[in-house]
Amino acid sequence: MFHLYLPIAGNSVNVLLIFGLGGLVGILSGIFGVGGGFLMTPLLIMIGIPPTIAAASDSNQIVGASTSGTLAHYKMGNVDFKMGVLLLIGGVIGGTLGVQVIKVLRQMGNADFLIKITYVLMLGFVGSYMFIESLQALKKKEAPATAAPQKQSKYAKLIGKLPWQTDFEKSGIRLSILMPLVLGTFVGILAAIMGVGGGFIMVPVMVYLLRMPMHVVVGTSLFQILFTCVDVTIMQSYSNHTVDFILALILLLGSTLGAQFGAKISKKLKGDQLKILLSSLVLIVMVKMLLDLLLTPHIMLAFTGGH
Amino acid sequence: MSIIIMTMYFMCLPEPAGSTVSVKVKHEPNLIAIGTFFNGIQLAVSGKVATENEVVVIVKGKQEELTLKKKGKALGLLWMNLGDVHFKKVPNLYILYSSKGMMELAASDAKAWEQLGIGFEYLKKEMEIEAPQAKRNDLAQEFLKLKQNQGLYASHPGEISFGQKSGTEKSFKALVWIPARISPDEYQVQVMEIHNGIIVGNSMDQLKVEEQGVPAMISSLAFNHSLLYGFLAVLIAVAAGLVMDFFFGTGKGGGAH
Repeated sequence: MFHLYLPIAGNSVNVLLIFGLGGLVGILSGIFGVGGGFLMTPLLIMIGIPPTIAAASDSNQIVGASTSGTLAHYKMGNVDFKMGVLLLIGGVIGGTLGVQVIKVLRQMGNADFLIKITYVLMLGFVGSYMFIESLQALKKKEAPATAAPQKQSKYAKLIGKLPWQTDFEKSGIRLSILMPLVLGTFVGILAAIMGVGGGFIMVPVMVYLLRMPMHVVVGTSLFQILFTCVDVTIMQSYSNHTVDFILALILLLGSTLGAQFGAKISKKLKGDQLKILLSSLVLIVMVKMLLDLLLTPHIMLAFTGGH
Repeated sequence: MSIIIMTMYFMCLPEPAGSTVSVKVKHEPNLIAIGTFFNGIQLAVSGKVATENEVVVIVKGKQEELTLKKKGKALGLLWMNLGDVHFKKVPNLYILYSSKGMMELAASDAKAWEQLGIGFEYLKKEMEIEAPQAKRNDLAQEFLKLKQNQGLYASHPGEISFGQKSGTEKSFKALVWIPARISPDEYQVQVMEIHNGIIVGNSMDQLKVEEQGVPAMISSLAFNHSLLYGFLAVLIAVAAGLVMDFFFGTGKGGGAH
């Protein structure tokens, strides 16, 4: 009785297992502001869901988790809508460009290889940088505070010179609107190539390049992911018929509940603690992907599709 | 029309050697209905054969063409999906059950077993693979592994039981496990009566598998009204998010920290 048949996936699944997976990823969504696509899709594939169905249905459930997470963070005053909309515009442009890049890669052959390598390099770079930076920040806090004011970095001076500077009240920063547009485009290209919502790239971009405070980053990132996944769900459903509604609904129930808990947990954690935890998670996933590339696979054939 | 085509298809399958009679067989259920809680089902195939004979039951699907990705090492280090492999003349389902005596035959007389035209070795020989001849056997083996992993190909030697003898006949029963992964389609239930490694009896029956109820409704919506389905999927996801926030939300929004 705990099994439900998934008509699009063409298989039955244990409801409790799917609910649990959704809950786990939902908690991460609420804590870190990542959609969880880079975790959930591989987990679904591991339990036997076809890759294309896993990816598309995952986007569907991310809509629910991100709605719940965005609302939770909005109520806590953590969503910078102005920044989010600019990042989204960039993301849509980048996503469209990214799809064209994929087309070219496919014509050249071995698009899969480049995508996987991009994953490993991006996850490795982002995870390592965040981990090291967060460790250094934590160590500095243990030392007695100095009275001398911090010098403005070269990067901060550079971005201060860009045109169309505007205030982002929620984030408490002043930036050129070019920054979120350009960075959003860059993340959109990567997200299209890697087939994810973009949270685990967007969060470090917001923290390190846009200089937003961590807790605004989480809510704003969820806002951007929400709209990306709405677009993907509709397109995948229309073009490929790969959205399994039953699967998405069970994942949703688990993940929306999880996102609520995640938002509460994130409130109790300091920004640097959040960064260390997220960077550790990213590094674990990178190691897993690297091992998949290095170790001899159990079966030498695979179905087409998937990340 | 489709029934005529189906019947002609099944009649074109390889005929067993020698004169054969029809085996008295029935299978239950006659129709497999994939409903909301479908998690695979046991198909009971039973009948009567001569007391000295053995039985093989095969549930198989239509032959199809598949294009799969082949894994290879890039730069001598990294395993990647490199290149496509096209498989032809492979059934979409192949589940074989046999009685204990067939296991002894396979072990003692490989040639006789081969001539029966059944089993995974036969499938390997029959499938067409667009690949260099040297790699053919390995690819065929990997294909079988993939299908077995999915539960769509299975071999259960020695799992047909015999019942009471009455006169010159004995009853047999096979409890064939049909996996949840089976696609809605028409399948064939073939029962062979074997005497000293030769097919002396054969029967073929149709088995229909179809979605019913909620799965059928969702499939129809997803494939026939895909844009509407997409919008509905999004709306329900957003609604679920709002409902969960209403019941489990943080309540009044406090200030930012």
